Amino acid sequence: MHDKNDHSAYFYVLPAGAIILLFHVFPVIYSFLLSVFKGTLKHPMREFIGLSNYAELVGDVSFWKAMLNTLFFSVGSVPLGILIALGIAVLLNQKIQGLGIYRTIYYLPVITSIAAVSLVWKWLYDKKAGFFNQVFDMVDVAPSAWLQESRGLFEVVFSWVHISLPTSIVFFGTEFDQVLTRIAHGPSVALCCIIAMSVWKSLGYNVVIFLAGLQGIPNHLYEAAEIDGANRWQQFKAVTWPLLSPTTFFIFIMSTITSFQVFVQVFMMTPFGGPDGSTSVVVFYLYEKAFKTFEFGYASAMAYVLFTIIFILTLIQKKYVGEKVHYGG
Amino acid sequence: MRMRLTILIALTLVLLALWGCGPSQRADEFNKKGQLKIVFWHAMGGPLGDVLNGLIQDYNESQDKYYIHPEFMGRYDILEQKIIASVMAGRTPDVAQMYEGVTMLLTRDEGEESLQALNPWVEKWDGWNQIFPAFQENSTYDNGIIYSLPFNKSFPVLMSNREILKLIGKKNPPGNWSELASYAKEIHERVGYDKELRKPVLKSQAQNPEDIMGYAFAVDPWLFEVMLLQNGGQMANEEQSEVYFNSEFARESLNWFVKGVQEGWAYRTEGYNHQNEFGAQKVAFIITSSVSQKFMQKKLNFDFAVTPVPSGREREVSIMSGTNVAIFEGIGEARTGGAWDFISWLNSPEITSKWARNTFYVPTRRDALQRPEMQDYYKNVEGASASIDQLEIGDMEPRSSAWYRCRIILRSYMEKVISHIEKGDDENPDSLIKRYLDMATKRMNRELSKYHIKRKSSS
Amino acid sequence: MVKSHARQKQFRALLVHFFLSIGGLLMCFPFFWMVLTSLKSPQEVLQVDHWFPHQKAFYVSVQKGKESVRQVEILENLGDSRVKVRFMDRNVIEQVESAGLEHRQFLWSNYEKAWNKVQPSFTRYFVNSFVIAVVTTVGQVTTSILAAYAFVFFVFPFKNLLFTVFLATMMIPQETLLIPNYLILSELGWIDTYMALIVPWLAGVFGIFMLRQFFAQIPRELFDAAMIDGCSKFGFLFKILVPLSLPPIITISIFTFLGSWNSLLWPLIVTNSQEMRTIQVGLSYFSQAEGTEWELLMAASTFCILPLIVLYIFAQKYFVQGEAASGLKG
Repeated sequence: MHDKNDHSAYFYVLPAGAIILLFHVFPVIYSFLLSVFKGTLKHPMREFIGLSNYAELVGDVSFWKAMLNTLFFSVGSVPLGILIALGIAVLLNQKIQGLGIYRTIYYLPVITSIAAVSLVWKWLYDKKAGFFNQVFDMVDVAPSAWLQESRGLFEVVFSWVHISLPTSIVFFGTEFDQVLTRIAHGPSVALCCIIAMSVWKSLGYNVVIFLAGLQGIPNHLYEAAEIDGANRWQQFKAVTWPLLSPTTFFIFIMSTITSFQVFVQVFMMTPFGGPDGSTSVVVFYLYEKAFKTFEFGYASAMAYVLFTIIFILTLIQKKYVGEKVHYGG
Repeated sequence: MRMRLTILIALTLVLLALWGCGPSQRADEFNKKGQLKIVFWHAMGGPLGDVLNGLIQDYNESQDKYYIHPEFMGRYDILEQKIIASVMAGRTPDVAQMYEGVTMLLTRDEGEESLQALNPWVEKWDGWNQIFPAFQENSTYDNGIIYSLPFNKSFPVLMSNREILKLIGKKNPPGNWSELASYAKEIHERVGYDKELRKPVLKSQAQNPEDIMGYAFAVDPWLFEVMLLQNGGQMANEEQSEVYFNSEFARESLNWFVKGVQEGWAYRTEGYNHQNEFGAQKVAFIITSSVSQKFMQKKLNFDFAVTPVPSGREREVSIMSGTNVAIFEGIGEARTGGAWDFISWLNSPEITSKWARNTFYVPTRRDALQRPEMQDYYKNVEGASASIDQLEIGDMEPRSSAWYRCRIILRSYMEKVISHIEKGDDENPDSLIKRYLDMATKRMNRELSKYHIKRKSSS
Repeated sequence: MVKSHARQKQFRALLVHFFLSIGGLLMCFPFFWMVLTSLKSPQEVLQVDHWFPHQKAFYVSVQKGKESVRQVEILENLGDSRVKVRFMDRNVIEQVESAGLEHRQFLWSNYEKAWNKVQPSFTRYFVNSFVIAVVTTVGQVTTSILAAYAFVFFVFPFKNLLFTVFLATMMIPQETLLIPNYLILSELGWIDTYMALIVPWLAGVFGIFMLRQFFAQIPRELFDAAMIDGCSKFGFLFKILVPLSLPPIITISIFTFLGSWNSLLWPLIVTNSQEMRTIQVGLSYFSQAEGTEWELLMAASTFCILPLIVLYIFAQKYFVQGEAASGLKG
């Protein structure tokens, strides 16, 4: 009876299907079309221009700076976030009392509105009366400009050991030297501030996933290792880490994908792209091109490049981790 | 069976609903007094917003045909963004405040203009001939089409701390840029701030005085452009397809700021901080828009002078700032009439005078200057004449729809130059200035080439 | 031997608690600082070394129908119930009635002030966020239930293809959809209306996916028995399946609600007028327009965050459980 084709199924799928097709599938095609056309404000698709938007993107220093900033953000926030989250999860897994309370506390930042929380951190970083500078003042350290500091991390760290990096590297003799300079100087202190805040915000999320993964490792494996004379660190290396690696890899890819899409924090904490444009990440630059100056074709090209990168990353994740999704009690 | 029928009906309804949709302007609305609602988007906040709201209330109560519904958009760039978005969505306000670049953007595509040409109304209006020529030009576009009326216009003014001037024996504020530089330098060397007495004193007569700077500035192309013009240069060519910010005039102007920072008497601040520093008497001179006085008024409890922006070498010229008001297309005859009634009312002698006297913006028409209350204001209020005197020598920035982006580019390169100087780089400032202004000009020209003014006569 | 082992365990436990507590403090500190700041006066906010609000003198008066609370420094009691004070906001010295002087430590009035500082007021923003989140959640849950049901209990042509397409959309980042959706909504004339804020999110593959997994675990016999008993396919869904599926439904509801409530980029783009702003959008405009009144900004942040914290404390189980199990972001 249930093996016959039942066309009434279409009515069930229709509501979701219509919305998804119209607003989630069709736009992908539309986006590409927009990127290969040029037009007016009210009619964005007037003239076919082929791949010239993409060519222009390649020569756009601001785009490359945005990509670099995004890369810095990703490299800065993902490994750090994973390490700390793993550490916390391991601690939480130690069968201590109050696990629930700790988990609540660590997960709290995750569910709060990122816009509001970005404001709070912006205030913590305030130059004049922010908490961090107040602490610096108490221990007699010079205040930092934090979100307005364009100096790179490497530049600052080197300066502590009295090495000063060249202020600007002249290699190509064009604007692209700015990109080289930024690579040499490292992510600006402003961007690092945003990285710190992002790690704080998403920590709990990764902790919970790690915890579930840790709790899935059968106890008898640890007991067997202990009998074999392994200490805690060796147990971690031999049992925990290998068995956790699917989870770790999953979190790694997911965090990377999310980090490429960072926007709200940047928008709230540095609404103008930060000192020297050093916090302008790809999605921020996209937003400015699309919704501040209404260059839809160009912005669509950028969106498509971003889409390609993320699509590839997601494919990797799906392929390696597979459908490890199950609803458990 | 019943289920399928229900779903089918629901679907049909949805499709009908979608069909009925489509971008459209809102319908006419009336309030209880029978006045037609005119929506006005602006970015006047704080004390300026209070004055504007007062004026709007006056207008609403003074006649019974229209009432203005103002919506405050927060900042200019947000206002601009929302205006353009509303045009794309097909649902615009009736009147809005906007810079020339936006006006350009909204009218540059032939056949798709989103603003109404005001010529038919202007022709029947006796006020146009009284509007200052600089403002007339500012609102007139290709082929003589008038797209706006002036609204809140200002000029740069020099604010000087009179007490500090007295300390170095000068009676009057500096009149030109080299005077400003030399006064500022001298003040930085000789004058300090006594924390206990809470006032500036001569360093020689104080114990442990804090440093006082000569000149504080936020990096902004405005003054840089004024100096450029004053020294005989030009900002752009006539078609506004090319800018000249890498010319010797441009380099010379930027060099004035660079030298100040190098020699230590000038420094850069963020946002509006230079105004705060001036108010705290930590710096002797700042140049700001005349309207800033409105915000600073309550915080200046010392003797200060307000004079026109310093003059340069060749030309007597200044650059206006501020916006105009324009009326949107497609809002219907009734609301267009109301919108015009409002913006021409704003430009009536009595109201533009009231606006100017309460905000430190300049009046937009000549006959307003003749009014007794305006004469009184001009003579007796510090800072009134400083901007009004520049009305006859006002020029404007390029009006290309890409100008907003160009300005951002110019500003970011100026910032880079100043940053390098602040860090105390070895590089020769002249080559630094040349390199960055060259890059800035190249990028600006690229932006302009994408959007330069389309002549309506060609296709 | 046993004793020292126990002591070792105790010491280790203590160490674990120590590190976790420090971490926990770091997690919560920003919220603590936020609330502290929200209770300070504008002058106190800028004073360094004054972390906890202390007793301050204020001159309270009613101006234009609104209460005005201004911090003062009391200079001299002039007798005759008049006092010489320095108003700290304008740095002017005036003589005022001593009756108007009040001492306050925590400035709860900041909350009311921040609430009304925006146009029309945060009330409207809360209403918007709530309506949008509720309708979106109900919508997404409904469409997901229907679609998942079809994928599990029906056989129809192109079923697998359709499902693969749905699945594929999970790999598309929101940013790619922004511009085209914006243009589509412009064409439909839905910009700056509830339609734009809700309709594109009335369906989501996350919910479909999760429910499909759950439905697939329902024993087939249950379905067959119901069919034999003459139950319609819709009846089975409504009367039997849905009540059984409450756990995943609740999880999906919470994540959808959360996602909708906290979203910024999409509502930012599709709304123009003040009346259509959501809480997050309103907060972003508030911070950009009034950049430096930190006590008000922190008050606003506090009441923006509070509702979700309350929801979280009550429905904690579902938050954590759903996220850990699904491993998918809402």
